[in-house]
Amino acid sequence: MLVSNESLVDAVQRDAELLRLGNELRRAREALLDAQAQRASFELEVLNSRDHAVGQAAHIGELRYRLLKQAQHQLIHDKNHRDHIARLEAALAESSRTAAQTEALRRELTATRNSTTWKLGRVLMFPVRAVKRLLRRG
Amino acid sequence: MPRFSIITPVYNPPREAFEHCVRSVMAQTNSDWEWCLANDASPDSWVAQRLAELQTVDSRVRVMTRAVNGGIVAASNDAIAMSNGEFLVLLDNDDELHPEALQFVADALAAEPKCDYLYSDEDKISPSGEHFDDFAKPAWSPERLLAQNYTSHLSVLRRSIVELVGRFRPGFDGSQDYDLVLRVIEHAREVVHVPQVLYHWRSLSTSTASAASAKPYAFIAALKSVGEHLQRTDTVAQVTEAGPSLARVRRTTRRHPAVTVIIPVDDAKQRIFGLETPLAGNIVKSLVEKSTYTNYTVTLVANKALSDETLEALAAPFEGRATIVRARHSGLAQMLNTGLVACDTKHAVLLDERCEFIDSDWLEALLGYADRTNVAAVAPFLLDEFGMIMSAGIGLTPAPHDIAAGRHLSDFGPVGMFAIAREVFGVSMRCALVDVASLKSVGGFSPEYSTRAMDTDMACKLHRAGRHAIITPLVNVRLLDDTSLMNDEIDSLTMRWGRVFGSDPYTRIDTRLRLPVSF
Repeated sequence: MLVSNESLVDAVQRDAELLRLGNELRRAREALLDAQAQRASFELEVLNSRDHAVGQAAHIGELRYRLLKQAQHQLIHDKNHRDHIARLEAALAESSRTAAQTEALRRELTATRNSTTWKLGRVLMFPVRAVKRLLRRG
Repeated sequence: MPRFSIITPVYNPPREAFEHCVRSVMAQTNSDWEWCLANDASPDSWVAQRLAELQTVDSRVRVMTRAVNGGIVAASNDAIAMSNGEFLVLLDNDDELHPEALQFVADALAAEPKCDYLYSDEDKISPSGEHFDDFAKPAWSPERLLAQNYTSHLSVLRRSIVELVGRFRPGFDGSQDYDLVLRVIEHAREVVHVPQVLYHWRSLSTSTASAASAKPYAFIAALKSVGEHLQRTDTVAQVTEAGPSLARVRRTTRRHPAVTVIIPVDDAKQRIFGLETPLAGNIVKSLVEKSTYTNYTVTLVANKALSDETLEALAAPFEGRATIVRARHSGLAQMLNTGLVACDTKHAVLLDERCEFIDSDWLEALLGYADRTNVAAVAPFLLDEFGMIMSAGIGLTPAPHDIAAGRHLSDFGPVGMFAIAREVFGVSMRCALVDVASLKSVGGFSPEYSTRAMDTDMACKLHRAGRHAIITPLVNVRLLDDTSLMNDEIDSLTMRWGRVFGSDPYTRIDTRLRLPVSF
């Protein structure tokens, strides 16, 4: 079978083109695989970042919860403390009032004992006291 | 129009019990109620007299007397026909309400105005009047409701929906409440649980409170109710008996969705029944031999320890359905995340190489639950080599733990909860069917943790995102490992989720095995 030079040239050119296209396809496939691997890698990073964000949000929630609990505890502690101080102040005021009453009574007693009536009474009752003392000794 | 209509069918109750019932209604702190009593032609003459007397004493009491005895369904429907309230409160004629029951209900309804069905915790009263058997119920668990009538008492239903579904149905005597609730939830916008004991169920020798077997006809009616509910909700399923008063629902998947099975593999070996066995090869063999479901592909996620030849040998039995992915980071969490990233199906099975399948229809059974609303994960019971349960879900009360660990499969657990499929806070991801998008939306598995802590962390993340998990006894998987303890990670886990420990909405009691202190 005779093959013209022109046909041979065409065939060679076609083969060369096929080879070039084949190589291009291989490179494209490799690039696609790389892109897919890169995409998977990015997607994994997104997952990890999302987990980190969720974890941090949960961590903040936990800290907020603990802080709130601590604050509530502190509030209760402070209230108890204030109540205790109020009770002490009330006791102190009561004590001052009692001391003032005692002082007033003491003054009244002193005044009574310094009065002429008291002294006269003491003199008048002296014999009775003396007899009582003798009876106790006897 | 009163807010609450208390519905009570009356038929020859023990007099003393009825008087307790009356006192409990009259003692309600919330006064916005009416009490609709239907006397079902009680032969004891005191019943009619006492009801007439009650009607005279309190204008909120409404009584009707049936000419002939029609059974509990007819009497209850007559009581409903008399009612005007916005909500129906179901009360049996020998039981009692907590004095603040209606007030608690009113508060809960105020907090959730869209609520159409509400239930509370309950306890029982012995013949001597002692309260016992507190039932701390879980948060709304529609899957569990198919297996047992756990909501039972106190049940409060929006009257308009009860009217819409046609009140109680004849033919369901003994289980009429359950049947009504199953029909009401098909239309309910919101279901609310009040975690307080608001109902005291009197345990008489003939009542269902005393023994599950006291009314076998009631259980037969209950199975029928569940079957019809599934039909109405367009679900193809078989309903069978799982135990005393417990139903087992096995759904059939109409669609056969593609599923990716993600298996992180390494070069680990273990002695299985005395033979040193490569675990990766063992799970591949188990998966190939014990799976009747065919529409699945496999993603083998390998670390650097395995050679290409070994991986190709592992992939070979799947005849072109297996993909090999090399994990760029070590650690189980990152390997699973790599598998999730490579996954292009809606659902995936996460599978530990230490697992072995027992049931061949495991994937069909798990897929039966996959389309339930807000379900992110479905898992089987994990058993050890001796058939003891290693995990039937993850509970958080009082602290993170594997539910039912150390118990035997024949142990039904408190209120039968280990024998039924139900919602749980989390599941072990050693073997679980997951919704890939849900897991991705919360960032996949945290590389900070391994195994059990990782599972608990995932459960907390999913719960925070409004997703929940289902555990099913329909599938049992053997797990050849019990080494992964999370004690060293608990501090770190507590720093993330410490505030939610102890507040598991689905397991309000401690379900761990308690060993006796002395033998």
